[in-house]
Amino acid sequence: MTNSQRADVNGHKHRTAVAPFQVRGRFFTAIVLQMTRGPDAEFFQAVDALVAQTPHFFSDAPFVLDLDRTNAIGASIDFIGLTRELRKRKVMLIGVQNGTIEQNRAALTAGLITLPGGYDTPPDANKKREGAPKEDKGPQEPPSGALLVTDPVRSGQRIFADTGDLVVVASVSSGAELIARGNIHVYGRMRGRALAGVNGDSTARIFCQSLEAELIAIAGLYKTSDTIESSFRNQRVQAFLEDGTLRIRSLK
Amino acid sequence: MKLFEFLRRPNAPNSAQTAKDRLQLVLAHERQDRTQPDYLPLLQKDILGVIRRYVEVASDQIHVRLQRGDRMSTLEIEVELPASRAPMANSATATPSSAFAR
Amino acid sequence: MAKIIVITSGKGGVGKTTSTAALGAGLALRGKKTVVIDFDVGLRNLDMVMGCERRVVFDFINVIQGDAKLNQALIKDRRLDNLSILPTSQTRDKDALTREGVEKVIDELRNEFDYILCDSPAGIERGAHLAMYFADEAVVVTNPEVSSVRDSDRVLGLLSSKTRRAEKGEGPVKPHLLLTRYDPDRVARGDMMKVEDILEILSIPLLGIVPESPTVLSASNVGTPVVLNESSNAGMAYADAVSRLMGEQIEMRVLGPERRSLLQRLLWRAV
Repeated sequence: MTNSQRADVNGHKHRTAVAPFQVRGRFFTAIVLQMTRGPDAEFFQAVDALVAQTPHFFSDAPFVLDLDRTNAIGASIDFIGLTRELRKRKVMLIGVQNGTIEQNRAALTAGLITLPGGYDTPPDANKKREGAPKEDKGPQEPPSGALLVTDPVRSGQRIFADTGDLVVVASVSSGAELIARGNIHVYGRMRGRALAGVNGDSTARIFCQSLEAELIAIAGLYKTSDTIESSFRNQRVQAFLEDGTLRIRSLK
Repeated sequence: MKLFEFLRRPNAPNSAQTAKDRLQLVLAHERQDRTQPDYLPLLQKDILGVIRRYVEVASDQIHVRLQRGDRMSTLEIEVELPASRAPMANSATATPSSAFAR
Repeated sequence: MAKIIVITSGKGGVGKTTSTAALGAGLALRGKKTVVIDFDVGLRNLDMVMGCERRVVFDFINVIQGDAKLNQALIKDRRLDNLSILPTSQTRDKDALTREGVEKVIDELRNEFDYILCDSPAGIERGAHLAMYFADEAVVVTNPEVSSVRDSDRVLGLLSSKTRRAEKGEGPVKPHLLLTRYDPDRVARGDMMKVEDILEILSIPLLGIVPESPTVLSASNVGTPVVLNESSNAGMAYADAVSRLMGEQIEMRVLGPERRSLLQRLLWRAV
């Protein structure tokens, strides 16, 4: 972060600061433990067994506790103690979901967050995590295989290509959402939302046969339909990041 | 004017009156229903229970029908009694035929 | 084996119940044993549109909860032998509908009828979900109006994922677009979306175009499905839709609301 000093026409010096942070949307995969009983001795034994089985699986993974099946025991869960015990086992609990109001309050007091929603990832994604070496914090694995969709994507539907590109050979309705780790291609009318490079891949691109999108985003940087230049409407375009800005160029 | 009746629009203007009549009837009953429990299924069960004290009948041999009119509603209860079976002890003579109660 | 067809839309007030009554009566007229089921628990309407509101004794919920047998709840239409109605409860709420209960009733109806038409409530919650869950085909009723088209699109998404066929991979629920309240004059003036625009957005086969018509209101006033009115344009459109539903190829005719002839209009003023 640099602060540079500039003088304006009257010679007054100002600090033109680079913004202290940029706001981005970013997807992470968390591991959800759906508790079926309170955190008793058996619970911790099971956690120990799980960690022993696949130690790499848990390295730096954010954990969320799903309280859906333990609503009946109310706020009797000691979240502070539970978080501490789990961290001892290298299980990093960051939040809870589907708790009762009291459970949520108790969790918040313990420094945990309450998370709404969430979508399950397909089982293969989890398997890939197991193989990753512990120290891998470098560049993302190259995307493997595109997800191909040939039926129209309807309002309210969400397609998530978490291992690579997403190719849609049909139209995408307004109110539909396309999310991909890699590139997104729409060979049809793109009326919904497209979010490419969601794991932070700023080289991802979006290609459309006819751009009428409500929102396009690459690696968290986005443009909504009112900030997309009108000359690109209904055109064959590609969108990509250049110098930290989302650009659109027509495809001829 | 009767002479020009054939010129009336394709939809009969009287249908609004029919609609009003039907609604008044249905709503009168529904407003009553909302304050009372739904008694017909219970009534059917109770009647079946009473009859079974005297004669053996299956639950599908009893039929309850309700016909609603604006001044009077009719409740029809039809029970198929089994043919040629000796009535149980302590009962009045039961005729082996359908019995109608109104 | 019966064909189960859900009449749905997402948006309320577009003509689902009117269409269920018309299509049901139309199928019965063509000799098919048909039953129409009202899934809008707590806000029953199918019985009134069919004209049998005075003969409702037991309902769908009574059957599901074992208080009555199916044949006690089914009402035979007085005009058409092949048509029966299964009304819903006016006093209970949606929670009384269970998937197992609905499945049991539909399985029982399958043996007796050729067509089972499920009149879905508006929205995408439990009632609407259960109405579409067991469907083989869907009639998506849509008005040429933006919210209706968007809601229909949403419903099409649900039909391809939240139905038994989708969950078991048994082949898709066949969708049909039924456009209602269409007015070709307003379309010509550019005040109303045209069929082609809607087809382009929704991309499903067109079952029929039902014009805006005063006969629809009169039909529901007197409790007669509009398809039984031979001089009604809406009725004729529904009759055509029934033929297409049965697999026949009929040319699409775009009718408008009935208009009085010039003579009628002149003399009406003089009277």
